[in-house]
Amino acid sequence: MATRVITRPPTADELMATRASETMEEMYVNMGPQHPSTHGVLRLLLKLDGEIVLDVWPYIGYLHRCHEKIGENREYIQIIPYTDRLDYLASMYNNFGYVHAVEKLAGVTPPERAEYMRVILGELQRIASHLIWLGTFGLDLGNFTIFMWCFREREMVLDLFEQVSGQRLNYSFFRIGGMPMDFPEGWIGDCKAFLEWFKPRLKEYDRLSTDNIIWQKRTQGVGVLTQEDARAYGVSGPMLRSTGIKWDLRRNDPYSIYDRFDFDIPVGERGDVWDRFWVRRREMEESIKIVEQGLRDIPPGPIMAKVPTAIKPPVGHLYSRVESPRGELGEYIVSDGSKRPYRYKVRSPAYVNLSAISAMLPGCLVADAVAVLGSIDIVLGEVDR
Amino acid sequence: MVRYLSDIWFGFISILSSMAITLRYLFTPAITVQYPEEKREMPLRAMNKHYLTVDLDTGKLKCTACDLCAVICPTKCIHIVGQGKGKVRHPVEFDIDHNLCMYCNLCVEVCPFDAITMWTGNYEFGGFSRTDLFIDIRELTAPGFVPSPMTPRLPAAKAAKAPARK
Amino acid sequence: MIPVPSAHHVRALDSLYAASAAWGVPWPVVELVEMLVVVSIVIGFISVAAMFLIWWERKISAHIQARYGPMRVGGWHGWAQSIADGIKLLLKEDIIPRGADRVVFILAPMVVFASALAAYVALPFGPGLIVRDLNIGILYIIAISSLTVLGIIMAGWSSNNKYATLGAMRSAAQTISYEVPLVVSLLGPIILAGSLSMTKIVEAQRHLWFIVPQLVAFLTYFTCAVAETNRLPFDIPEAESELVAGFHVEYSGMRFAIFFLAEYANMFTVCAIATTMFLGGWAGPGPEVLAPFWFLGKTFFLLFVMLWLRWSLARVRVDQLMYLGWKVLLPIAFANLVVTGVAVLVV
Repeated sequence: MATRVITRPPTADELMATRASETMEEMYVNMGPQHPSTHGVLRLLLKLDGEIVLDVWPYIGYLHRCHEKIGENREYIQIIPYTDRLDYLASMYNNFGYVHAVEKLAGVTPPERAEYMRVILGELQRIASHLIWLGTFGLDLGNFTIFMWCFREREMVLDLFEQVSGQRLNYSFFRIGGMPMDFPEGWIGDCKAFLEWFKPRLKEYDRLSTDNIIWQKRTQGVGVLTQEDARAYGVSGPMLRSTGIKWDLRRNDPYSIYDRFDFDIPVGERGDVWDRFWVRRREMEESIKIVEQGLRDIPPGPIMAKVPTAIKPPVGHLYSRVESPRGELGEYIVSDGSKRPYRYKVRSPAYVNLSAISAMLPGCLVADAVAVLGSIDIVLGEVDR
Repeated sequence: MVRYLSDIWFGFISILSSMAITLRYLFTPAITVQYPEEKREMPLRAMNKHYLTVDLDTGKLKCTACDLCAVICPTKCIHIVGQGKGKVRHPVEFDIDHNLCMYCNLCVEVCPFDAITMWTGNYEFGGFSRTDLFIDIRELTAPGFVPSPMTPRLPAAKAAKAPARK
Repeated sequence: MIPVPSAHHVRALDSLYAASAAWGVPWPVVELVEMLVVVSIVIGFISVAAMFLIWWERKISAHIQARYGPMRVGGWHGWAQSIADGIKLLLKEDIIPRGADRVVFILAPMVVFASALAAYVALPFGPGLIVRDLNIGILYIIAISSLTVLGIIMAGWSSNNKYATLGAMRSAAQTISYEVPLVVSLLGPIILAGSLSMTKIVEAQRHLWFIVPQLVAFLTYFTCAVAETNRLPFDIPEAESELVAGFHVEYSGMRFAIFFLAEYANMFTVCAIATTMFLGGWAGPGPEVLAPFWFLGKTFFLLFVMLWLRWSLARVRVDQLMYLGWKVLLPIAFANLVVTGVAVLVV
């Protein structure tokens, strides 16, 4: 549907009216903040007619932690640990987006080896993030086993990250001008071993997911997002690519050294839940390719450019964007020449993608609501900041 | 009609295929670690509880209470009170509030004397109340000396007593 | 009035009747004592089997997922985990929601458990080990286990909870939809055996287990059995990650434990029926004293397949569930019935 009337949520009187009615035709149901499947604290108010969802209103803000305001009171280097906690399942990429923005604003170029390290760690993080997504999506559909298997692979990626940065989840490993530490000895060999272990695992997941009839029937044709709706809502990332639009910031607006790597951009056809699943699954394979090329080509050299500890970018403002596992992660920084940003805004991809749920969910069954919500791949830390 | 039958056949085969791989996994060994009987080997850089390092030659703390770590900490969880001037300056109070600590490693990176480290291998310092996580200088120096990878001249005897790492 | 002892009546009870007659104890009292003893044995068996099944399920799911499962309670691989869980449930507070219909709320788990228990009357554990060898054995079992639907609806209705009622309605719809192909698929072996009595069906498989000529019926029956017991991939009524939480959402403590126990008892019953009808019941090489072990072995193998299925597949959606039950399984079961009937007439 090209145009959609935005409806307002029900008032208290309307809610009471439906509750008191004898027939249970139209009712309002809360997929409340505490729910095993909303991937965080998200409240979805659904208007149901029997089993069919007529309308949905997402209520967010339960995890708001004043990230942008905190950013105004911290020096540029002190914000880096806070950016981890935005999208806590893809911390490396949050760091990447922020550090890339500040470097552009301050006019700093990181050395070659640091750039390669960033791409390698970023793509490994993409694999880890998609693995969590696949696991929890399977859990939403009822398949517990794929959840555990994905987490096992993710544990290996986290072990690699722990060897590099010392942390398993919130790495804060990027610095303005490069990286704080080099790869430890033997890390590249461990990483290659992980990739060799991981490639057949994807085939195993296929047997439980892609080739399984129940999985196909649950996801094909469900929660369709048309191309016009996708453009209108401003969705990005795998959700956009699943509708058929081939738009990936690593190709269309290259940043860092992504133009040196050879990888495909998987694109879906219909924009349903199956396509979103398939695009992410193929992206994991492409990320493996990028990591292998990075490990092959990484040059020796310094990892940190010459920058002062307290960076003072010149007065100005900048919007810079990167392709995080969830979509276009944008950072808008206004600098007034001091050690702290004047205004620091994060354009979070999950926030925008979640708003498209109003276009996807009406017309689905209640059981599909969980599948569709899972396929958007939201992380509430990013949605609420 | 053909579509209907082929759907059923495909469904049946795909279910058998899923079950086959699950059965294979049933006979592979489990990978979980039975903590606390078995413990995972931590990598060298794993960030754990802070310790203040000791200079091998003099046996004194390397920290000179210069406040750089306290200033750079994003959550302001380090409080230092120093005493003395110049070469004899040392901290009398050094508190880290682990309720606030983000484990970002900025304090370690910024220290010019390599006086504080998080690569200590001690991750079992949980407590039963918030005050248990407020660590003062006695706890930060309790083990006496913990080698950090950037510590110069690690003598062989101390290396043998160092905790096992990768 | 006085039931006629079956052909394999155990000798001990004969002497018991004789002794009681000598002591002047009236017949009905002896019958009552016998029934109480047998019922206690059956309930004891169900409890032990259910506890073992719960532990086994946790272990199997764990090893499929590359982890260990219960390891601590009781020492060796956490064998006492189910006992600990049972004790915990016993000690929980008994909450009855304020607007709930008290009588129906309290009766619902009892109805569900009673109908699950009553099916054990006709299960042939061995050559003489059947509580009552009814000549309408299989018909009785199917009829009595459909009473669980009544208990489920009672539970959902009396909880005074919109979502529990919806969950109960869904569960009732699912159970009733899958009863029909279940019964029709069982008609195949019944025709081949020529009798409804469980022992006669087992004896008819002396030369060839019915699974060989009736493979399609077996698969259909097994799918319906998984749906009847609300197991994944058909576990919409209990789905934790769906919106509507299920009919037993308001139950806690021992009442919930009874639902749980009834579900596992039901699982055992349907697998036991499958063993009897398709896998030859207690038949197996070796002396007759081994027969109950063969029966239990085959039943537990089928239970293993049920558990295995749970951890391999995703959940089927409600409308797809209905499609599967009415438009796929029922035609297949009918086709099997027609082919069996024609084959028996011709051959």
